[in-house]
This record gives sequence, C-alpha cells and structure tokens, in this order.
Amino acid sequence: MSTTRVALNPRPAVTRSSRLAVGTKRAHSPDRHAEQDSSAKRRALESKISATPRAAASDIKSKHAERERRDMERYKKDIEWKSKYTKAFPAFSFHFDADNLSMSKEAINNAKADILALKGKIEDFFSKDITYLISDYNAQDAPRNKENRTQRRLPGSACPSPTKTRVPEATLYTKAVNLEIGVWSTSKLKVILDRLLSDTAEPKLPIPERKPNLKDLLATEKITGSTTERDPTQRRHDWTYFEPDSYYVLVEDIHGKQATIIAHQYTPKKGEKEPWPVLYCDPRSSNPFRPFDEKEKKRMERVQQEEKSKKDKAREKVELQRIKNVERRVSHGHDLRRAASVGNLQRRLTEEEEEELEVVEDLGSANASGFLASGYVAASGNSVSIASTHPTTSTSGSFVRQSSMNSALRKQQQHEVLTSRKAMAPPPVPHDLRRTRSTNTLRPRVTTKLPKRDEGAKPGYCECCREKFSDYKTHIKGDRHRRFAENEKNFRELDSLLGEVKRRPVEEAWIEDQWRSPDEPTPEPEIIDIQDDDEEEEY
Amino acid sequence: MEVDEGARLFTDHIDVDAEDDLEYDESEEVHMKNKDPAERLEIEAEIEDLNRKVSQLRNDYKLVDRLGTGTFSSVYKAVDLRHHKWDNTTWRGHHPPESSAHYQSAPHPRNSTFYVAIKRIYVTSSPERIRNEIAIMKDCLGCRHVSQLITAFRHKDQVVAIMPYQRNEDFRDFYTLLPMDGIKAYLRCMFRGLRDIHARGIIHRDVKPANFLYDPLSGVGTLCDFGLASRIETVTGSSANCCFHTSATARHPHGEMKTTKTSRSEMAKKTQKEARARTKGPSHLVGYPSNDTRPTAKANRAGTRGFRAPEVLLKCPDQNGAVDVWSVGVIMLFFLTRKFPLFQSSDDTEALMEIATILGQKKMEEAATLHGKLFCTNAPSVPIQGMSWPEFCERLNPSLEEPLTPNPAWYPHAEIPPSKEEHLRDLRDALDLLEHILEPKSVLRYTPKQALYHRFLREDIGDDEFRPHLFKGKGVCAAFHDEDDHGNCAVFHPSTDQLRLTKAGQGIAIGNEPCEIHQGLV
Ligand SMILES: Nc1ncnc2c1ncn2[C@@H]1O[C@H](COP(=O)(O)OP(=O)(O)OP(=O)(O)O)[C@@H](O)[C@H]1O
Ligand SMILES: [Mg+2]
Ligand SMILES: [Zn+2]
Ligand SMILES: [Zn+2]
Ligand SMILES: [Zn+2]
Repeated sequence: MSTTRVALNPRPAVTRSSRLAVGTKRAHSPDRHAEQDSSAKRRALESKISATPRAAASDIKSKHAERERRDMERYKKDIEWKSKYTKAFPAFSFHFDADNLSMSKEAINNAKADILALKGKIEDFFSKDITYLISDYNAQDAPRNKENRTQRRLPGSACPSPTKTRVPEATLYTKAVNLEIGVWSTSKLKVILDRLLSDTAEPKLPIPERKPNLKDLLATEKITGSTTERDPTQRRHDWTYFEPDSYYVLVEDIHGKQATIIAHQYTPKKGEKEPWPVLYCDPRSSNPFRPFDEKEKKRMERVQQEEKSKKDKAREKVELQRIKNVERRVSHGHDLRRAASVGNLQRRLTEEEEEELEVVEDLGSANASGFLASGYVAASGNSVSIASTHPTTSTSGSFVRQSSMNSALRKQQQHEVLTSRKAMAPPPVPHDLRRTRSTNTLRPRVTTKLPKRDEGAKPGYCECCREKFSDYKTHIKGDRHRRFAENEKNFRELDSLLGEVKRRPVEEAWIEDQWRSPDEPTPEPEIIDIQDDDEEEEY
Repeated sequence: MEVDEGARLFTDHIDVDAEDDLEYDESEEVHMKNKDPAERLEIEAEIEDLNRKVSQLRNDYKLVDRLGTGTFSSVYKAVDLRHHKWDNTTWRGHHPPESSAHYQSAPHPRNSTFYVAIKRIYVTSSPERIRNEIAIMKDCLGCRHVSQLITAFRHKDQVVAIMPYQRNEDFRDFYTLLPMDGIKAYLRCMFRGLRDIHARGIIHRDVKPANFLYDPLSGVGTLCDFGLASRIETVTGSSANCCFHTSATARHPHGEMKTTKTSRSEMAKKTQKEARARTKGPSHLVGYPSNDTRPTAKANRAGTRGFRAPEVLLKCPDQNGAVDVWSVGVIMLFFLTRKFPLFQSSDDTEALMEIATILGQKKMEEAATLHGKLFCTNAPSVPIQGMSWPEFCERLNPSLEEPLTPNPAWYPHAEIPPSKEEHLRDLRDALDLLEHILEPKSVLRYTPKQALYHRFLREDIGDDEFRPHLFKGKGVCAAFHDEDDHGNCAVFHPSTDQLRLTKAGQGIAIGNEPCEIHQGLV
C-alpha cells in the first residue's frame, strides 16, 4: 500500500498544453462560426499591419500558426496586464460606497479579502486620497436604484457604525467624480480581481519549426505529468509506477495542475480476503461488503433472535392497543377498570423487557413529552397547546388533522414506547462512523476521542493551543490552555455574537419590539419592489 | 405583545386536566433512576462541574440528565426554570398550525415543565469554530425541523448553547420497523429542514441519523448539530476553473453544467481518453510524479465516514447543498435495505471504491470529470457498468416488496398494513426518488425542494406554502424589511413610516403570508 504524500507548492506551475489541442475548437452554430471567422479576419488584418510576415500566409498550416501566435500574444498580454496590475495594487486604496453596492455581503467580503491579498488597502472613510471608489451608483437611474433603500438609517443600531458619519447615496459618487477619483462598479472590481487571481489561460505553444523543441517538451511533461506525445510503454525516472500485475486506484486532476489526489496500490496477501472493497450484496450479511461466512452467520442468528423478540413485543403492543380501544369504547374517560387492566399488561411487558434491555431511559421524558388535556402530544417532547404533531393531510382543500386520539390513550402508548427503549447512554458511535473535522488533507487529523467514560487519559488535539495532548483534563488545566482561556481578546468576536443571541426578558422584549418613529427625518418610505430581479428561486 | 397573544392561545386551547398534571408532574430524580449507579454518579459529577464552571446556568436552568456524549460536546437535559420570564417568540417562530413545523412555534403551557437541551462544547474547540456554529444556528432561526438556538453564553473557555429539548429515539431502534408512511414523515422533515437552511446559504455537512432527532411516535424530526456546518461560497480564482459546473445560484442550488467548449474542456476530454486507455493496459505503466511539486487540491471534507458525497471524496472545491442531499440518500438506503451502517470504509479512498463497486467505473468517471478529476482503477471488483440503487436495495433486502406491519403507537398510528398495491406504488416512488438523491453527479442531484415535490413525498398542499422566507427574501412584505451593512435589521410600517428594529428570528414571512409583524398590515 502506498499513498503519495506531496509537498505543498504555493505557486501553481504554469501549464503549457500540448499543441495538439490547437485547432480543435469548433463553434457550434453557423452564426458563431461566422462571427469567429470575421473577427479572425479582422485580427489577421491587424496583425498584417503590425507587420508579421507569417500572418499573410494562406495555407492551412500557417493559419494554424497564426492562431497559435495570436493565442501566444493574448497570453503574453494577459501576463503583462497581470504583472502591471499586481505591481500597482499595493499603491491602490479603495473605499466601498456602502450605500450603493449591489453585490451580496459575502461577495463584497470576498472581494475585500482579495484586495488585501493583493496588498491593496481598504479605507473605511472616504477621502481625497483614495484611489478608487467602489460604487454601483448609477447616475442615470438613481432615483429608482433599489440599493438606495439601505440609506435609511436604523436608530439604536448596536454597532457604532460608520453609517452614521457616512455621506449618503449619490454624494459620494459625485464627490469622487469631482475629485477625479476613479469609480469602479462592484462587477468591474470582481472581473479585475478574478482575472488577477486566476490562472492565466493556457497558452498555445507556437509550432516549433519542424522539429519539436525537446527541451520545451520535456519541461511540459515534467510539469503536467501528461503522457501526451509520449510512448506509453516508456517509464520515466521521476515517476512512481504501480507494480506489475498490481491493482490500484488513481485519482488525478484532469488539468494536471494539482498534485495527485489518490494513488493507492492494493497488495493482496495470500490466504487473506481481497484488500479492495468487494460487493457481495448478501442479504444475510450485516453489510453488503461482507461475505456470508461463519462469523456473519453467528451474527445473523443473534440478530434474528433479537428481532423476533422485538416483533413479539410489537405484536403485544398491537394487542394492548386493541384492548385499549375496546376499553375506550366501553368506558369513556378515566376509568379505574381500564387503568388496572392496562396496568397489568404494561407491567408484564416491562418485566419481560427488563431481562434483556436496560429499561426505561427516563420516566421524566414521558412526562416531558407533554400530554396535555387538550389531547395533543408535543412532537418536541415539550408540551404545546396546539395540535402540532402530524403533517397535514388535506381533504377536499381543507385541513384535517389526523390527531384524534384520546389523550389518556396516547399517554399510555407513549409510556409503552418509552419502556421498550434502550437506556439512554449515548449510542455507541461505531468506529467507522467517526467523523473528521479537517478541511484539507494537510491538517493534522483530529481524532479527538474526547470524554469517553472511564477511559483514563483522553488524548486529542486542542485547537486553541494548536497542540496535541495526551489527556484532556490535564491539558485544559495546564498553563498554556489557561492563558488562552483567561485572555478575553481570544473571545472578542464570539462575545459580540453571544451578545446578539441573549435571551430577552418579556418586559425588555415588549419595550424593544415597539413601532417607533425614525429618530431623524427620513424620506418618504419608498416601496421598492424587491423582486425586480426576475430570477426564479429554486431553493 | 406576542406574550399576550401566547397567553390567549394558551387559554383558548387548554382545558386543564388536573389529574393528568398530577400524574405527570415532574420530579427530576426520576430521570436517572434507571441508570446504573456508576453512570449516575458520573453524570451528577459532570453536572456539578458544569454548574460550577458556568455559574450563569444555575439561576435559570436545572440540569437533570445527560442526553449524549459526542465527539465535540456533551449534551444535557435541563428544566427551563423561568421559561415564562423570557420572550420565547424569536426562537419559536411563527409556523402556522397547518405546518409540520408548528411544534416549534406552539407556545408552552404555563402549568408544565419546559425542557431544554444544553450543549456543552468541549473547551478544546477554537473560539472561531464555536462562533461559526452559533452564527449558523442564529441564521437558521425560523427554519423548519431545525434545532433552534434559544441562547448561548460563555464563561472563560466554556461555551454552552441552549436549545429546546426534542424527544427522539435511537435510529437503530426504529429503522427496520418504520413503515412507508413513517419513512415519508422522516424524509419530509429532513428535506424541509435542508430546504430552509440551504436557502440561507448554509450546508449542514454532517447529516446522519445521530444528528436528526426523530420521534417515531409523532413522526416529527429535527435536524441538529451544526458543528460542521458551513456557508456555500462562490468560488473565485483558480479553483473556479477546476470544475465543469458552476457554483450554486438561486436558480440552480446545486450548480449547473458548464456547457461551452473551451480549450480546457477539449484537453480534459483527451486526457480522460488517454487515462481510460492506460487503465486497460498493464499496471506498471501507470504512475504519477514522485516528487509532486504541484499544489494540493483543497476542499472541505468535513463530515462523517460513509455519508460523504462523491464530490466531497473527489475534493470538489465548490461544494453546495447537494452534499447534504447525498447523505439523506444514504439514510434512505438504511430504511430500504434495512441495514445500518452500509458503508464501512475507513478512509476517503476506500469510501470512493465502495461506491465504485456499486455504481461502476463509468459513472464514477463521469462524476469525477464533473469536478475536473480523473478516476482510474483496475480493481477487479469495480465493474464497468454498475448497478442501479433500486437494484442494490432489491438485492440486499429480498422482502422489500412486503409491507411492514405498522406499530399503532407510531405515526401515522395505523393498525393494519397498507394493501400490497399501495405498498408497491409507494415502493416504486421511493426507489425513483432514491435514484435522484443518490445521483453521483452533484449538479443533477435533486434539490430538497425537488424531493419534496417528488411523487413519493408530495402533499396536497405544496411545500412552498409553508416555507419560511429569508428576512429580506421573497416574502410578500419583504419590501418593508431592511438590513444595514452590519446586519442590523428593521421592518417598516407600510403606512406610518414607523420602524421596528428586529432580532434574528423575527420578521420571517411564511409562504404567501406576510411576516408576523406585518400581519394585517400589507
Ligand atoms: N435538542 C436536543 N434534544 C434532545 N437531544 C439532543 C438535542 N441536541 C442534541 N441531543 C443529543 O445529544 C447528542 C449530541 O449532540 P450534537 O450532535 O449536537 O453534539 P456533537 O458533540 O457535535 O455530536 P457528535 O460529535 O457525536 O456528532 C445528539 O446525538 C442527541 O442524542
Ligand atoms: Mg452529532
Ligand atoms: Zn488548549
Ligand atoms: Zn466540483
Ligand atoms: Zn414583514
């Protein structure tokens, strides 16, 4: 078994694709084809003017060459453009016109992160010193601009928001224009950032004069790992190959830009079962990937036994139910006779169960499950005062609830279910169901098997201290962890969120949840159709 | 105001039955009565420890039992001592009586104990991770069948989150016994929860039975544990060029196939062909760079073994709600095959191979290509053409066509099994839905909404009638809702120009109705 481990290289290698890809692009519609041709002609003309002798050639080969040359030119231009902007970016400072942004908050945050990544600056306040104002203010349709809605200030906002000091709506835009400060729309900003941060489109290698340039080819292959143009029976010295007649699984980036994702060779051992998953799909086995062998046979027999007793119990419950129904019919309401007989049956059931199951996880939840005199069970395990348990079914257009059971009856049933329930010790998490929290392969695997009872030392990983520990309890009492825990700074953002989810006493809520006049004159309440983007939502 | 309303509702609907109250009056001691003494002592010690560490707890909550010990937290059951002292409307929401999520909204009667679940997050979690979980729960206020955040607080490194207690049973105790109607109820709750959180740009990432609190008795389920949840992000830069599908959009929540041919896609096709040819050849000619200096593929792979979608295993950098839908598909397999767990893989490689032995090489290749990956294997157990999911279920469960005898104590409280025809019709529909939610290509996988409108789950009244809109979404009164850059929210009075600042969970319009504040105003 071998799995590749690769060093991380922050700089993606520029891939040069094989020249074979050139010319395989075909437009779909005749229209597009024509368009492409005419633009190609135009560009050909332009390049004639720029005096490239090869552009004038008329045979197919040179047409290809021409296209490649153009691709190369575009590529160079792109590189040039990128390098120009990347160099300039640290000198740029941006201010976001918060009143006039048509992009989602998340997208804006992404853009801000991108700007910072490119070493640009973001200014919280508008001044003459900023380089670009980011604003979607549109001088033409200003009054209808739906984004203007946000200009209404919310009095009493929790945040000491710069909103208060901000110059509202068009003013910033006008100011920028007057100060001759550039204004970029959010979409323009996004296009620029995306282009700057994306890989440069694959350049097409110019066809080397007749003989391919060996050095170039080698370089390409070295980087991409593509076997294109290579005798597939040839092995290369800097690659790892699977053993002859071995079985493997290999997952690679189709573009060849990212490191191998999975490379795993299976090494079968004599006399042992296959090391790769085999689908047996035997209904008698516990699992489709297990053959039905002696072990599974034993397991099946055990389970069948359990199932049988479960079923017996279920049957008994049905019987109990029937008895209760009869009793309900016989005597309506709270009747001692019924209580007694049901009680007997109940006791019998419980006693049986006690033998093999840890019984009754908590009587409390039977109470907590909330049977109300109104006859409704709270689905939540908490009582509610309105019907709520059943998804509606509707009959001829009107709602009909299925809940018509007598509350005492339900209570009884509830009790039964609870008695047959396993003890409430946390359901053992099967080993193969443990989850991992890592978001990428390089992070240390967090295998926190934290507080498991009576296990002695509980090893794990502390995200606060960024270190592994051999015992949970010792670690959290340790100096390093205590220092982290005592430092309020570490919890600043969390605290600000916790402030927003504070539970409000009724009186406080009453006062807060009142209509009030805006504490400053606001313009006519504009009723702007928020649904003006016709996009249909499919969520 | 809401409080008065609540009180009124309460008196309207309850005629208190003293006998019931007495009989079921709570005394905490019974909670742990039946536990083994050592465990009881341990739980008591834990409760004592938590009370000491987070002193704010003591005044308002009385811890009575432990509900679960997870990998990242312990969860306790507690009495909400002063339930009616608080405004409970923000986390209750306003799901109408016709909604399956009404259980979340119905006010609690004053004469009975209200239980909460207190999640004690292990202090080795980073504050940022905890913040993420709480922020996401806050954004999920008002979502149906989703565990609602009542409040959360911190003392030093110890953070606790308070949620309503949800009665539930261990999946192992009911998944083989639940008849079709129960499965439908389970899935409807699940998909409603997912529909609502995905609409808020949130992926749960850890959908599995332990994180879906289902009560077979009432047929109500609640999605919990947002510890691994993340937000759907639009991928930019180089990662965006990796996949042949777009990011999630409102119109295409699972992304869309990129159809335009580019030199990139043409190249990919060619590489794919070569790889296929190579796989057919001898193994010693298949290799990979030894000292790979190329950057490592980065993708969120948080989740639980056996529940990860192909795109997670294939390291798609641009994941969306489709990953949750796949996990629901895996749960649906448990019901239909009556086996749990099904996948036993210990790592991503094995997980991928397990799926490959079922779906076959061709489908795996196609799924891989969608995310810009090559999938090559010569393992003899991976067929070229695999089997369909219905076939898989039929082979694993020979009695698939036999209706189960319902347990009358459970939802829908039927006493006799459905007719064979009825069962076969349901089964056909179930298997059809299964194929759509276990679709290996994420872009083609059904969205929760599509699943809810599929024949198997559809109800007479469409799910749209009950969906809670975003605060500033497509609700009928959305024009009067506003949010500033800092997330401060307010609603406006349509005629007086007065405003009201709102808290998370307030101002959520449902279906075609205005939000609770604009009721009767628009
Ligand atoms: N609101 C609730 N009502 C009842 N029980 C709950 C509630 N919330 C959580 N639980 C119980 O506690 C267990 C653990 O909760 P949760 O999944 O949120 O924590 P976790 O530590 O992240 O879990 P894990 O690591 O095991 O996945 C749940 O599986 C469930 O049994
Ligand atoms: Mg969990
Ligand atoms: Zn620590
Ligand atoms: Zn992808
Ligand atoms: Zn409203």
